[in-house]
Amino acid sequence: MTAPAPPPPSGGRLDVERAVPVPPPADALVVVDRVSKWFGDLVAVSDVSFAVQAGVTALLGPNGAGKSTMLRMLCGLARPSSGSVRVLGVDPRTEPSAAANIGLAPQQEAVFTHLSALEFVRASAELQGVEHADGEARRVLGLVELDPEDPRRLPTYSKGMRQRVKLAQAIVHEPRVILLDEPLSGLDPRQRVHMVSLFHDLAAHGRAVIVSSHVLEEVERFGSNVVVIAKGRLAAQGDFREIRALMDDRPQRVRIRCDRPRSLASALVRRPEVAGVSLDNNVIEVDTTDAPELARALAPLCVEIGTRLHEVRPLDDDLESVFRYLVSR
Amino acid sequence: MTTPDTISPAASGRLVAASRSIPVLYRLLLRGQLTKGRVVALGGLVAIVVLTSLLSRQATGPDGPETAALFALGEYGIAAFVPLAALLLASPMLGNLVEDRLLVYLWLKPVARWHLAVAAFGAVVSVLMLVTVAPLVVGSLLAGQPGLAGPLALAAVLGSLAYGGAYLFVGVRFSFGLWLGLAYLALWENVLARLGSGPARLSIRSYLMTNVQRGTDIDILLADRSSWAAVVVPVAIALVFVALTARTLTTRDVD
Repeated sequence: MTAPAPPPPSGGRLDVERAVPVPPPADALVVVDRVSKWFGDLVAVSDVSFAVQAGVTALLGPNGAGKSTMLRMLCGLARPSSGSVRVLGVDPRTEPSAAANIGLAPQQEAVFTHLSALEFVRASAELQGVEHADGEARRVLGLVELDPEDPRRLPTYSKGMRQRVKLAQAIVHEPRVILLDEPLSGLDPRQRVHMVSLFHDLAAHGRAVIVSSHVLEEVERFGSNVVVIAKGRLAAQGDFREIRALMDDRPQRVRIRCDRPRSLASALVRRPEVAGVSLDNNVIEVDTTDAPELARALAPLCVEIGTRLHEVRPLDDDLESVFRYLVSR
Repeated sequence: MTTPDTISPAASGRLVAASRSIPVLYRLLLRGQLTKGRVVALGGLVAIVVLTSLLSRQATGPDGPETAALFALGEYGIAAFVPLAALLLASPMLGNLVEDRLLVYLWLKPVARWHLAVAAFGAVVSVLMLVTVAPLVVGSLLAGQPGLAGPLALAAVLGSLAYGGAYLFVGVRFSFGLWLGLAYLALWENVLARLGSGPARLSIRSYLMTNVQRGTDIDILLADRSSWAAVVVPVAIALVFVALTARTLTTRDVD
């Protein structure tokens, strides 16, 4: 757990933000305390608190959930409307020196059109006050598997190469806190493996690597800790395996088509794992608390009542539905 | 990667000194501003200076070549060419970085915000002086009015500072900075400033034209500021707007 919340309750459930504030751990590198951010009438982030220690932490949430806004506040680019952010005990918004301990690879693809990768990363190193900026820039470009001697300008790079350049400029000064906004976007599978390995390597050296993503499978590669944000709220935080279990445990809706829907619906109603059944236009929709058990029971049940199955389809087996469930709990 | 125990000096939480950060920022910003479109636009403005200077030499009639040269180099050169060139270069200097969401790469550094404002101003003024002073001096020679060369050069330098600073701020503060700059030139400097002494005092043009007046006996419209104000005010305007730019960089959210 990277978060200040109490240990997870049994049953594979994640900790959910509680009303009672919990003090952050003493070794937290990043502390977010009751932060909200609104733009006019739009509330982008609402009363979010969490803390991040060394290690890889995934900031998970659907598109538009407030992840990028949160990342921008974590590095001081945006001022919280209320609440506070501390990075190594310093407010990154009001204290520019905090940037020495922060590396950010932003989501946007725009790059300086007149620079090569080496020039861009070297300039970043120089502005961070790195000694031997040229040597360090070459070293980190090598780390992300780019050729420092490549004379091409950045706009000619592929999306994956630009992602790696952005990562290189974010880590060239060896910051304690590294914020990566959708960093695997545009990378091929081999590069993804390499990047995830690099994230873990950085984390193993005592750094907090905060990676935002809207793809659950992507977060699975990061392992370890997750902070789930949905609709601007902290939906959950804790170990990734627990959110994976939550996916399986949560109520799900399944659509079934068969030859004798009335008979099957009647039979399903009596099943313990079935919470509700509806029948509309000969299509059955089942709310179940145990989808795997329902899947196991369905075929024998059809044989028993003598019907043929045409379709069995989960209706909410996507990440959005997980987020909706987490928010509604 | 090194461990946190061997963190580089960069991560020690100190601000990078101005002597190190400003040259890097200056180089980055200087290289970025001369896009193909701007070079073509600036080239067109310079060509008009040269052409009108040559034509003014041929002027006949009661007003003569000197009046024609003053019109070409003063009314167009100082009152239109310099501010338009400043608008082309200064307004997008930081404004485009904001629009393209590239400012983050310069902002998220252990660098005082005024370093960025000063470097951007330096990059604007360097190019602006180069593209305005030389054509105006050459233009005065082509027009056969070498006595105007010095006053025009001084006015161009001061104009580069004042308009460069003002438009740098407008570009970073407003998303419609270019249009705001044009509106100031077209409405304030060319219409309102002529209506009374109050608006004229808020016209950069009036200070610059006072400097041009030093090179001729012919009366120039709006050139009625004191000699010291004609030099000090444009410099003060530049300083105020660079300070406002630094403040905007400190207070605004960055995408």
